[in-house]
Amino acid sequence: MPAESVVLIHLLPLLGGALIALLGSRLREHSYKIGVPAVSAAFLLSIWTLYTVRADGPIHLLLYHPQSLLPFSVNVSLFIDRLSAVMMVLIAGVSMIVHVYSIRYMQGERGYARFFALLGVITSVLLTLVSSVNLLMLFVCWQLVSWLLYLLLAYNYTHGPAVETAFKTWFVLRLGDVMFLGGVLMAYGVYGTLDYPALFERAAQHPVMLSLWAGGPELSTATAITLLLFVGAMAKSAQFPLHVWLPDTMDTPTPVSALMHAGIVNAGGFLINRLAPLYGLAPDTLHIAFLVGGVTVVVGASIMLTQPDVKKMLGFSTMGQMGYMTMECGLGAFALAIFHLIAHGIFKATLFLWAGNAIHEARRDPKFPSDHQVQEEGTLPHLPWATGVVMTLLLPLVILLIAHGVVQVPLRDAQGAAIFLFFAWVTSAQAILSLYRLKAVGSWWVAGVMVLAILAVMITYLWAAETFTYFLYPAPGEASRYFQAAAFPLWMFDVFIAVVTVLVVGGWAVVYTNVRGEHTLIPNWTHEIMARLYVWFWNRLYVDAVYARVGRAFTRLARRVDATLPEWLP
Amino acid sequence: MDWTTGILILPWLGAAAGFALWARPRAAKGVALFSAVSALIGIAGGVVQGADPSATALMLVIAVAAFLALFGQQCTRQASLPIVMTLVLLGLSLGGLTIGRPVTRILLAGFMGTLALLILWRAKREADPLAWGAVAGLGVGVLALAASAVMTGKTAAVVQLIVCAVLLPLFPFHTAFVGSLSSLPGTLPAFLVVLLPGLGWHGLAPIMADLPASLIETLVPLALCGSLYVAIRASVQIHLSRMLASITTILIALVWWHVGVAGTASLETGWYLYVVTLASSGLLLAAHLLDVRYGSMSLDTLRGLARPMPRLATLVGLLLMATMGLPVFGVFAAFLGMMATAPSPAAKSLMVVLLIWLVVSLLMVLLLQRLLFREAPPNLIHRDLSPSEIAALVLIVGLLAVAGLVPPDFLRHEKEGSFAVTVTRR
Repeated sequence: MPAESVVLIHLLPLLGGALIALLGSRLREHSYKIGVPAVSAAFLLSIWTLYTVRADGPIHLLLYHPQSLLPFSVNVSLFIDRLSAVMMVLIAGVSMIVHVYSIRYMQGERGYARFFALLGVITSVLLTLVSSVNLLMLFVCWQLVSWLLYLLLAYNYTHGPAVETAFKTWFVLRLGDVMFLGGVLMAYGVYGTLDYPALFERAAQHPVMLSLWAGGPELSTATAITLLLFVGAMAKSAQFPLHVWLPDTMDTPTPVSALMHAGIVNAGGFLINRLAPLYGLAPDTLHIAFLVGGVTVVVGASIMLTQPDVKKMLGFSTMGQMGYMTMECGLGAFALAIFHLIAHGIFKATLFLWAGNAIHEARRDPKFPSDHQVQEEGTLPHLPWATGVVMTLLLPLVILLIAHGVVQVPLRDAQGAAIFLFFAWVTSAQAILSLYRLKAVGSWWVAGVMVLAILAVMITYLWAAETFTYFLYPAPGEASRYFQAAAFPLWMFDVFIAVVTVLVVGGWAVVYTNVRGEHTLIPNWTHEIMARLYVWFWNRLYVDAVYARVGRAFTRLARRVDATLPEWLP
Repeated sequence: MDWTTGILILPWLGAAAGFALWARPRAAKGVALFSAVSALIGIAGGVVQGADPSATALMLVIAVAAFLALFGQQCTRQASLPIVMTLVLLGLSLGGLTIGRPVTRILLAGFMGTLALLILWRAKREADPLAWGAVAGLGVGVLALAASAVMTGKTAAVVQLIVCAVLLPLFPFHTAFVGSLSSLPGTLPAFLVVLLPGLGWHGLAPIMADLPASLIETLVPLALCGSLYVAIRASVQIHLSRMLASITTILIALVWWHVGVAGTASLETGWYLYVVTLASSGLLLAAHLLDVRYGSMSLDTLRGLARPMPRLATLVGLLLMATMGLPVFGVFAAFLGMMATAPSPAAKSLMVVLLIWLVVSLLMVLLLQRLLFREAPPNLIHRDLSPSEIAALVLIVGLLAVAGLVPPDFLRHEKEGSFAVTVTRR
């Protein structure tokens, strides 16, 4: 197949969407007959593209040459390297699943054709975003994603809360877009180009310092540009404090949630990876990204634990996972972030598409605990306890030692890898805690299988992370250069690792002893703090409330100002 | 009679015929369209002699705007007034752009005077303080124009700047612009939103060299603070055309900002201005179509149009998308072009400009939601757009899309040493 056929990956969903939009009133419930084949073909082609790119190197397809008949301003091309190809497979794959799922799920809805049209167009825009050849094309797609997402969220436009949520999303995403625009303009103003290779080369060769004001602190232009672009990434990837749009988007149809949580929120991670050489020149931005990601993880995961609604829990879970992704980027572990977002995208899409069924089942059959189960509450067999200890404390230690000693992973140099292992550790700890509370670990057989399964998962993680890094960044020394650029002072990293370890181990100790009904070392006065914290997190740290109050205050102020000003001076 | 005179006289002949056909708006519209198209073809064919290239470009833009406004005009009983006045104002402005300087001033004064009289006539019927503000603004413009005729050098340039600020809205002289767009009937606002700023822009370029540097620098805070002031007032606005006029004023303030930081009236800024006003013209045309159906209803009562009027919703959605600067429409490309050519000192006020850009996006989406979303009031009878109405709006959307796909050339060249900025538009 010729390399030119990659353009079909972008065109097919776009043409499908456009055709549905034009013929929507006639097609109605048959709209999927255009949308599903179009996106399925795009998915198959993207797999072929991944194979081709891996074997033969990147594809650069010039669509419009600047010297052509039409005076197009910039090089309108598609650039598909390994990173783009992997992202294209993910996007097209998730979109195909969402398309197929929507055939039945959306049946009977008034805007059936509109829904499929928007789905096709947003898929095409996302595919173009990941194969953009310069910052301008990326920004064009970046904005279009914001707009199309707004339209998808306002799909049920007669429903007040859906419209309000859509506007909230638009506000946050647009804020990110505008900051992104600032970064684009600054990059063009300083380096005179928006093409990636030229931009990276000039930024590396000609470092320029900026002063915020006369005699004020200086920062490099690479830092300023990457910071502005990072705000755009924060908005799209729901990083604290720009996360408020994501958990409230549950009024949208479930397939949109799946696409959003598995595809759109990943845009931030992709952006940082695509601009890795530029971010590699801005260690301060990477450290800020690490901090923002860390705060997002803590806030997202903590709020998730207090939410009573399954879909909201999933929303905050995504926020936390995106925090992990940003932390990985902040540590220079760019490839790990991509691996993470792919893994997260697949499992979160599955969860969202299944959530509706689970809720429906739960409503139909509440499954109250039996008397026998209630009586068992408070008693604890030794087996689950031992399993928990093995899985969450001993196993990670063994794996860390093996990784360090046998595979020769330089953990102190590659701080991102350590964070990745931490992620695996915390995830497995969370999994065993959930199973433990559900009393699912009741026999040696189950306990043994779980230990082996988690062991296999963690080793796979480690292997995949290592392999994936060399897959995405095959140039010798490239990946390690990013690790070094993002590295914290060793003492700070050691302190961080130690604090997290103490927190996880201490947390486990408290949980186990609490469940066993034994005396803990935690003083009683902390219970009140815990209760207060619970209320704070249940109310999402009041961030949404503060924003809403600011919005209302502004409206009141505007009305008051308007009333006092003369009407003849509009 | 040469070709140039023939082209210039066409709108007047059309206006005269329209006046004769006052009681038959459909026939008047037909004649007016013929006049406008003939003038447009004549200008595009390059038969007008004596005008400089920038004046020819402006003539082309305003002829297109006049054609679109006339094309979108609904043939109601009151339609003859906007039809005739569109041609009269077109005739005055084409004459002003072609004929030599002393006559230009007289024609421009006649243009503003006619506009003021028209607003006064409307204001008498509907007591609206904004209309009186507009008349006052136009009065200041006429006085400044008269004063500049007897002055010379820098003083004349400063006084002429006031005339430009009246036409190309700059706080606090923007009352004439907002008032005209809010008060005048039919599709006149859709025409004036292109014409007024175009004339102001055309008058600005020649005087830039004579303006004191300190005055040019003052334009930056005036434009930015003024746009924030207008944004606050627009955020609580409930009249559709007034809100659109305010949003256009905010977008045009960025033109003044660019003039202030660059010290020149660059071609990219002119292109941005034309594209913004064209997008606003489309929205004002849509507002006229709503006005014909529902009368001048406030945004609080007119809502939920997406379900009963899907064609209108789609086109208004696209126009709003274009006006707020989303790709692939011309405003996005033109804004980027203007910003990319801003000199480095502009970086100091860049964040304010970006804030204004954000505010415009938010106002536009709020407008979209108020107009199209939620449930429509049950007591209204809805009628979606007819094919001719669709054609008028589709033409504008198409022009904006073409403008977005053919952005200025300067982004093609990399900015190294001999970075040259040229805009070629055909």
